[in-house]
Amino acid sequence: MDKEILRLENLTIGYEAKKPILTDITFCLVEGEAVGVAGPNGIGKTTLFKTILGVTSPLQGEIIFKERKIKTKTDTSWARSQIGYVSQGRGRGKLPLIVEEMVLLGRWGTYFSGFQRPQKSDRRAAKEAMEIMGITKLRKRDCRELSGGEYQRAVIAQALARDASLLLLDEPGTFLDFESRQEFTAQLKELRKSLPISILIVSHHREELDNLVDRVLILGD
Amino acid sequence: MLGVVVVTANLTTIRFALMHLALLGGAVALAFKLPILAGAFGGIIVASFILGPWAERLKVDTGMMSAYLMTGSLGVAFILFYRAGVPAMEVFSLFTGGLLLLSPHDLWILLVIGILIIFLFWAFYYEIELFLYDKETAKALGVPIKRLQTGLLFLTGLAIGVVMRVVGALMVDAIILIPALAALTLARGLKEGLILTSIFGLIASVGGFFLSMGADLPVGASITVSAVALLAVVSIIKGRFNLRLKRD
Repeated sequence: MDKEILRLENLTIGYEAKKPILTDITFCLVEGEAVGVAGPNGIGKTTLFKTILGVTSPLQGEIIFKERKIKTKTDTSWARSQIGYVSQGRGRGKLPLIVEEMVLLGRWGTYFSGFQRPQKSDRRAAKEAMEIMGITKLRKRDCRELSGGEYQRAVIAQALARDASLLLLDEPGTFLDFESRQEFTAQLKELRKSLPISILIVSHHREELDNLVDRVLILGD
Repeated sequence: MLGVVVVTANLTTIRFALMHLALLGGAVALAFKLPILAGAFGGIIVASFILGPWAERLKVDTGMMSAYLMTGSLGVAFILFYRAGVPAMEVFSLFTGGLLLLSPHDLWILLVIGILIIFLFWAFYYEIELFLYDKETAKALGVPIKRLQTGLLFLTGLAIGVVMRVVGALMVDAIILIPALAALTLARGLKEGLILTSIFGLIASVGGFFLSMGADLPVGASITVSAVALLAVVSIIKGRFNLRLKRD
């Protein structure tokens, strides 16, 4: 039997107990599986990801990551250290940041933080993640100058740099044109073949889901 | 260095509100014959909490809160000046500052705050970098965003309080914002941005000081003019360089 990586048990999510956004979600993701998350705008897809990451607490129910119930802050930090997250609508911002530094930031919290500084092993992991995503040549480029497709590859490399076993991708193709989106989906497919990584992806693009995922979780009332 | 935070984290409106509340604090100090710096710091502490945790708790838009604070504090400050009969020259000094008016006590405070800012940037460099890069990602990785933002607001306020004594409330941007804008035009990373901001800030301050001595001008205004000139030079150099790259 395939090993479970994430299980949601009767999960109710939202920001206020009186106004839950989604109720009673039960769902399971196994190792190496890719599942699409679909549903109308505002239904709570991003909130679901934030709840899995521990940014927002569940109102009810349980989150089980790699057979461990996520209840305390320690549990949350432990789970978070193995999850790569690509947020919706990533702006490039105004901060000048070269790609290798941006990828290295993916190691923060798990391998270094506060007074600690990144070690050689962190730089090596960032380098490997860039190699996997084929962006080694771009490592000295300012991330604000990358094309949409290049930037998304850098973002995935950032998630891979923390040795994530689960990727949460929140509409990664939003700012990409059709061709770049197809290229990005193909790259994610390749990634699935080469790494035992599980993926939960929110997308409004049917072709992205059809080409990449094993099944689709539809959220609704 | 805090200018980099203000520019990249879009805190310009909040910075303006902080500046006005520091001014109000200074006005209260003038009216009650207290040290101006202490008054400015008082205003800043209140402003940091109003714009940070309280705005969050009361669910008030920070932009709206800033608008209230900016206009309200100026109005109250002028009422205070009028009622307390503060001499016009003292009011003028609050708006234009004066490097030569700094007391040894002020210089010590300036030094301590400078060291504190450098230390905190060193200690929480990657947390600050993540915060400035993408707040959503930073939150997902576990960076305590709210605490960090309040801390940075408070530090910005402290810096504004100190700078207000040097160049005055109206020209705070000359030291806080303009060197950062010039640095971010050239920098390729946060570290470079912070170092260049410090260098440009130093050049503008020292250049302005000598300009003021040489041409017998007010120090604060001279520092401001130097900073603006520096930004113009950096922008022209960057523009020409980009143009040449495009031609090549």
